Amino acid sequence: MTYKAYWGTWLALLAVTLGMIVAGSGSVTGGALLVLLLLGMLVKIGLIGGNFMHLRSENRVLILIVALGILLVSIALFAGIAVDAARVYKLSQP
Amino acid sequence: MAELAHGVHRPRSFIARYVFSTDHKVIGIQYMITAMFMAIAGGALAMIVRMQLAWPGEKWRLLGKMFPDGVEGDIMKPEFYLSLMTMHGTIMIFFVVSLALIGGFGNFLIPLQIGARDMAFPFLNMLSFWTIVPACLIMLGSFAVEGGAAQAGWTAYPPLSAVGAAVPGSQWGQTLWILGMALFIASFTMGGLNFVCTILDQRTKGMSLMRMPITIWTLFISSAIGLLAFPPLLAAAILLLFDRHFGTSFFLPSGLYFGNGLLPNSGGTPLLWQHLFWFLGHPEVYVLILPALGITLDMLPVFSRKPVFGYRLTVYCLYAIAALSMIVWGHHMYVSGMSPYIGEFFAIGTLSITVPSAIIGVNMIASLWGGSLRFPTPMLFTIGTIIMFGTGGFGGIFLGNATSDIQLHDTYFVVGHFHLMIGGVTLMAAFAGVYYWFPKMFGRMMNETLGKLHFWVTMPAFYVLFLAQHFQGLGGMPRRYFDFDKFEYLQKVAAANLHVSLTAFVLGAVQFVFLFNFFWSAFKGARSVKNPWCATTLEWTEASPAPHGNWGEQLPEVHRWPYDYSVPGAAEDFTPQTAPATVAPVTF
Amino acid sequence: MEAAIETREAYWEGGRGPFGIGWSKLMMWLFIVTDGLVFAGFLAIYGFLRIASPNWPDRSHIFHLDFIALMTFTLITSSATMATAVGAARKGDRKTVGRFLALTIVGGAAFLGMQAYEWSSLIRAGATLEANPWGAPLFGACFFIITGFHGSHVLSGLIVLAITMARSAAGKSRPAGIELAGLYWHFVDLVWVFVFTLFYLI
Repeated sequence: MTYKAYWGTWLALLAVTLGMIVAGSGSVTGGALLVLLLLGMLVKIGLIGGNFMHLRSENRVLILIVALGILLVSIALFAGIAVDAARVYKLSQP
Repeated sequence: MAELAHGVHRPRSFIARYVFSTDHKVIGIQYMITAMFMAIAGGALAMIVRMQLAWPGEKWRLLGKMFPDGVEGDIMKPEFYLSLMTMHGTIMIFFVVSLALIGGFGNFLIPLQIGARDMAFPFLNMLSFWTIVPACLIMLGSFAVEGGAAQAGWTAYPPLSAVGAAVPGSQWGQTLWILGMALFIASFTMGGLNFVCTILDQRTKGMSLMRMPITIWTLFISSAIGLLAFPPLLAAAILLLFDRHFGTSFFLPSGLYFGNGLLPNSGGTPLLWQHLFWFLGHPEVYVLILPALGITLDMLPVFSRKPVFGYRLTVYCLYAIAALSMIVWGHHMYVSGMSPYIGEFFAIGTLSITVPSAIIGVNMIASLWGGSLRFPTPMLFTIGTIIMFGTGGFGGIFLGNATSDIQLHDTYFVVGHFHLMIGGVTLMAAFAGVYYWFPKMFGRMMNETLGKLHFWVTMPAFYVLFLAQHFQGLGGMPRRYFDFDKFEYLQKVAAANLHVSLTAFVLGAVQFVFLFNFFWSAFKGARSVKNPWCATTLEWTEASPAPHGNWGEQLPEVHRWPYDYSVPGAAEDFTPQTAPATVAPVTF
Repeated sequence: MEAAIETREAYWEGGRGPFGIGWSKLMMWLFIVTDGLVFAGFLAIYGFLRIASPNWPDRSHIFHLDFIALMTFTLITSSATMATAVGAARKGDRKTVGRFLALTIVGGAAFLGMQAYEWSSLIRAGATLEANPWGAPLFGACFFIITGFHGSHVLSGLIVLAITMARSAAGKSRPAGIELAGLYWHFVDLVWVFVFTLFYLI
């Protein structure tokens, strides 16, 4: 990749971050904010991983191993415990 | 590339060759001997546990001298009993079975069976072993600190593990336990990364993934599961340390009383630790059992002289087990206060994991079907593994189902079940593996008579011991209790404790036959030829014992899968993987 | 089409790395996966506690978003300079490598300094591991442990970068070595994306 591409990625990252901060400081609320922020996060991860870490030009299986390895395991872990977190919250309410 | 990096030169000094060696074979044997040493320690703990259960309240003069704090006035204290079973579990799971199967066979076999000079990172490999040694010493040494070793069980549930004042072992013993586990995780991560890289990148020419022996497949998948499941536990262990020493309350709810005082903690819950622990804990049992199944499936063709049954299906099932094992951890927590709705999900997941497991079990039996069977010691232990896997697996169905588990949870049924699975299956396969690969390790054969004696006592003793515990559990006998004398309703089932203990002593004693056989044969056993079992896999094309740097000048080239036994038209009933298509037709 | 399938299968045949990368790079990627999962563990625990706590503090009363934005800007920029250094190393341009590695180190150090400032201002406001003035006591513990763990990764990354720079200046480093250091540095940035979103914004 060229230097230009790196700094283009940099600009894109800054733009997404700025958008997330603007959204987070009150202009969007509730579930829409959550979706927006998570989307922004995924876009940033894709930009850093794909362009800065050159994952884009690697073998497809390696991309799958890295992306699915981290994402699926994290999601499985969080999904498994989040239900109980809601339950603990409910039980703590009078 | 790899060949040039390692070279064929041999280290000369004793220390570089046998102590701080980077040779995968030496490291594998080091792991195995460490595992044997830890097995003696862990086994001794089990024997003391069984002594207490057989004759509660008895005076033990020798124990009183060895552990003056825990066995005060020659009578065992309840908290010392907790230390015993905690450390027995920890040592056996993490420092015996993991060490022997993953560290021992993994290091010894991976480069030899895929045709590599050594691991991808030999130095890291050595570092991984020398991280385990202090971990072992810390675990054993924790018996000597004030308060004794950890007492919260191998699962280290808070608040026992998080509140220093809870039990005597919650002080120094628990801290050392966490430290030892952290070192173990570090070592396992180094080893696992090395295994995965080696298996993916270092295979010799022609060794495609679908031509790898199943042992390598299982070690690969085990390492991968371990790498994915251990990190979250590391995070939880760090937080547990903070809870213990820095006043946080991740795993401590409000309203806990200890020693007439209300603890200041609030906001956390022990449930969180249980989730994080079992997120590792359940995959961990597959980490242990998969290599055992791999060794079994690799050995069946050798001693039945026919190809393994359902190679591809087995590999797919291994993948399915690996994926499912990451999402079924909740079946250890049905009675923990976990949401019953998510419990339903975990129960379905657990029961669906029996499908690939059963397919592998059937493949093992079908591999025997129609073969011309031979019964040297490794084959006996292999068949023992299959039997244990079947029996233990049936117990698992009852425990995986929430409805029956609520009755059976924390009873001896669970104890019997997991001893058959991660005790029986793994140890039987490990024994089979040692008898089988011993010639490759030391260039000598193990003694057959002693081996058969070892098997014919071990197998029935294992069964009597742990089946009896299943029935004690069905009778409602809870695990982890120090003394059953006080419980009227348990008298009938607890009466079996004496017999269970006596069987345990026999089982423990006969392992010394194996140890003697191992060390005696290493020096005095009959010399072995290159390929004593007439097997096809790559390691048997190398001299026994294999020299440093494997295969000298030229690495072998692979032309076929590893199970070409009794190929029609071949001169012999086995065709090594290195034989080109001109020798015998390539079937796979 | 047929040829493409054949070459793909040849990757897995043995005798070569299936991903077309060396084992040290493969190892780095796998290490990143495991290390990333440690963070996943921390963040999942944080998520659990946050959902379970009835009185989790409102982040807008505690953090100054403009300052956090500055921290994020610094770290993203240092990632971009690192990527440039890796690109230069591939071209064999040692001068640019040295210059941009130095910039990266400056960026990382500035980030650590800002984090230290943020910590000290929060500590001055009364936040500790055990308690804080805003609500659920575990908020402080989560904050210090997660950002501290990330900060320790930044610190170790700085050490790696300093060594890489010294080796590169001495002409001893290969482009692959600089790339590995770069991967680690980007990973640290990647984790910050998670921490920034999940801790400071949501």
